[in-house]
Amino acid sequence: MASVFREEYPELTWYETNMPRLAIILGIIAIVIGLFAQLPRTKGLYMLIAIGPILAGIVAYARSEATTDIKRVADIIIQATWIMLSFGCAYFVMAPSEYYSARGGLTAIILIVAGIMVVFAIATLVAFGRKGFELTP
Amino acid sequence: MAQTEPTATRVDSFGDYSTIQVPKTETKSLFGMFLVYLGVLICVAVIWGGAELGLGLNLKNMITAAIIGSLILGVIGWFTGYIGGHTRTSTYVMMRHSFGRTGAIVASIAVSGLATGIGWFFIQAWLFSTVLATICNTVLGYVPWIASGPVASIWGALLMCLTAYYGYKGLAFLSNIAVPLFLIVLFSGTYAAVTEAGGFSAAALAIPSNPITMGTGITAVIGMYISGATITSDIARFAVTPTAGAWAWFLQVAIVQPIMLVAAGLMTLLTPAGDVVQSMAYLGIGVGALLLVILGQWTTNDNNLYSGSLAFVTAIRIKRSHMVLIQGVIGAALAFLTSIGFFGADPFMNFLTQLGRFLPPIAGVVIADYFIVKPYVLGIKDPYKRYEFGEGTVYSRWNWAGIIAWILGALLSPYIPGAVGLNSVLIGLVVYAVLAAIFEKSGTAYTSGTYIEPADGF
Repeated sequence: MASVFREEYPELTWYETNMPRLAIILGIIAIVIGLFAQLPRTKGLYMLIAIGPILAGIVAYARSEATTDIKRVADIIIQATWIMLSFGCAYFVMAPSEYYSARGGLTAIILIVAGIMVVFAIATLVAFGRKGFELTP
Repeated sequence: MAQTEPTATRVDSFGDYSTIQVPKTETKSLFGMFLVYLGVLICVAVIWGGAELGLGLNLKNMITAAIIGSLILGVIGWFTGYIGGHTRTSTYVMMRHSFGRTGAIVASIAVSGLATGIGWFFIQAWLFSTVLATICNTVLGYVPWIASGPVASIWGALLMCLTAYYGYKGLAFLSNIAVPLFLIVLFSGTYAAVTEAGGFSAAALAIPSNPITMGTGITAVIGMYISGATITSDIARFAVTPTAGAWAWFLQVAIVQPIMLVAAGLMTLLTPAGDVVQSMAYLGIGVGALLLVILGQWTTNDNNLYSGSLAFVTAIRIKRSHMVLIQGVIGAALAFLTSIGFFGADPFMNFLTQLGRFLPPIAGVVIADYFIVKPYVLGIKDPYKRYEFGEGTVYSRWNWAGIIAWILGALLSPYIPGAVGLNSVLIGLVVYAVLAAIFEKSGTAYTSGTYIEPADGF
């Protein structure tokens, strides 16, 4: 179980526990923000991108709880973190585009949420990297 | 039979296990390799292949050509990836068995070191600079200094160097960020193109601007990535299980590639633009178009550099990362000279295309040697025993059956009906298997010279 990981690496416990949670929560927030978009295509895009972090969070939680191998737990969290990072970046690329544009305020809010995804993902990768875990499992 | 672990006590003198087997402690997951492979594919399939299909085929034929061509590539790459997963060596090291030590150097330097690692690297770096300038002009209305051809060709080439310098980890690092992002951008563009054209029913009726036959389309799909299928082992050697790399390759080519080809093809089919990047700019997704150019070329060209450096390191005693820097500087200089018009790119592209015919037969020879000659002619059934490596291993200098099959595969392939790339693989495979079987059964020597592997695997 992941508890073995927490005992071995207490400094990483916060990331190991909260990465899946934050991915799911931020994904759900992005979906809610998407609901306020005027254009159906913008709505669809925001929701579609949000599915990535949500799925990554759910899968990471389920897989990490099911293993006792410390390295495996780290690999699972790191893989999910990469997905959150990449999907977070996707908002930065797509939100400013003319075709998928939203009202100014909404774009700013989604970019803040995406920014939190990216910053948290980078912090998680740095934390695991400092402990010597392989960042490209 | 347990997998051998000879590298446990061996020193990796050249970096990234260029000349020795990858130790089990350094192996990577199927998912990780899947992303690295996809990083190479996204530029090949989306920026070049998809556009070609979209300009030449209607939707139904485009889907059929993409599926058939991709399945063929998936099968060829699965076989080479399987060998890489079992031997845990790069293409150029495993070739020592079927080409001989010197034969492997000649073949790998010609087709992978010089052609891919320097030739195509600089052509792609130059193309990167021209496409970037064009797209900046379309999106911004002007070309900033940093995106001008001569400047972008230099920083573009050096950017691509950066990830290749760090080896597999560098490639994987970039692919982890770029690939999911790239897919979102691509599918957003395709959705926009289909919606603006009136939906999939309208897309099904769209007529290509420059029609080609479905056979030509299949040939194009095979031809655009047959080189990748040949050198699958360069990545698959890191596979956590012997078949993980083979399946990672198969999944990305047979499943994802057709989707990407059709997605990209729809954009050029449904918009007046001539390529995917221009299509995205036309659809108002300018940042996405810029990203396609930068990340797409980067994730593909760093692999060109990486494979080239692996090939060079088997011939020259130099650290792989240093070789990447040398190739990168040469490539950047050539790309710069091309962009200022010092010489044209066309003669180089024609030469490299001709030279490119010599890469796929290598896959045929290696597959024939590992899957036919070793188990059925020489009776070595255990897949871990068919190729042995390590200090003291004796190789021939030249394996003439391999050399002949390789050259015939390259020279005869254009004269046989069908896809040239596939022909060259099949000719290499058949000729090698037949020659080796005849020579073995008749007791005729078909190898010459000996080479004993030193401790560093060189």
